[in-house]
Amino acid sequence: MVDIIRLYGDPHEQAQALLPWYVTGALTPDERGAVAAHLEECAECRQDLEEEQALAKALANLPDEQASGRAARPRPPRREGPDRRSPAIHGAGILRRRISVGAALMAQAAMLVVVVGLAWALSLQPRPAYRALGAAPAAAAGNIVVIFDPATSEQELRTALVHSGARIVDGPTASDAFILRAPAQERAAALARLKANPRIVMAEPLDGDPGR
Amino acid sequence: MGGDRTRESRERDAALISRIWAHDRDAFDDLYRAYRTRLGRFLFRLVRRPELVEEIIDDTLMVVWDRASSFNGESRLSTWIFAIAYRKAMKAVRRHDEPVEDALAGERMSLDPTPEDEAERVATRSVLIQAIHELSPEHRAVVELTYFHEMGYREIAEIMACPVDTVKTRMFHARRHLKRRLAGRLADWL
Repeated sequence: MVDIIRLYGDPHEQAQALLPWYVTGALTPDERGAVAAHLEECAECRQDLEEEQALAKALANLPDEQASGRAARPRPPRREGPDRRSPAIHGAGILRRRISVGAALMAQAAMLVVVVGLAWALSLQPRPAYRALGAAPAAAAGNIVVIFDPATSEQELRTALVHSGARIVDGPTASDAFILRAPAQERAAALARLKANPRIVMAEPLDGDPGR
Repeated sequence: MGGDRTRESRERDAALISRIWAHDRDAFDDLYRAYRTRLGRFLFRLVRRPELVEEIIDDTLMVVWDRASSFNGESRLSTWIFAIAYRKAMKAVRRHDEPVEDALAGERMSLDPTPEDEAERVATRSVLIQAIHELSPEHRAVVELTYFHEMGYREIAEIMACPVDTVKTRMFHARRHLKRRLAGRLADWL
């Protein structure tokens, strides 16, 4: 998708506008060619290019002030929890903190549903006492995530699934992934078969399996 | 532009986002490791308050965790994540509307003194950082994303949700300001 922006219609001004990204190498080949061609014939832009290069170098060499600041002055422990400088631990820490709040809210909501449901059920009809509330079979949790090549036909998709021995339990997600379930002892083999399928862009185990 | 690399990075993005979508907690750690430093640097330039930076990073990554399904793969994952962080940072900047004191001003002069002590360069850096802080957050964001994160103007426009010409205009004004403030000092870096 090449859309050369005619910023002011004037090649000189276009080149001037694009110089920073010319220096950092973030232009498309077409744009890069256009700027290079203009530089050939414009002494003013060549001089500006030198300045741009110096500015880019100076900027890129600026220290990460946040890192310097953290090192220079330990912050007070604003939140309890693990060492915030350890990425792995901190990543998990954020989730634990946020999810525990979320889980508490969800638990409350679930409790409300149960209470309201119970009241409603009781008011409607006295059923045999042994009937469990909300006893629908729980959906099996997925243990494999796959993404198919977008050009895969429905038939190929079905064949791939049958061949793998795994079954779809969810999807497609917004990112076009499917969540599959294979019996635990057969998952490795199912994964290998999925990975070998040229129609499958990605097949990964889910649920943090240690054997991954 | 680097077809193989683009494809590889898209596949990596797709794999990571799918694991996050499936709420694989290890994926959250991977996400945190991949983005914490980059977001931290970007956000610190914008909001300049370490405690806010931490909060915005946490909030941003939680949005990714909760709304992975809304990532449609049209942009790169990093563009999507930076865009979330940028929106949150601008909200925070507006919320804390008072003039931002530079949290690290006292430490700036002593940043990274090298044994050979390139006194001139150190002085130039100091002027440059000060000059960057004189820019508006929007201008600072363009400078930071261009020079440090090496993003093109289209990607920056996506992150900032503005037209590409706005990015170019902001860059034009930012450069002019920085060059004026650095008058005569840039020769150190030639």
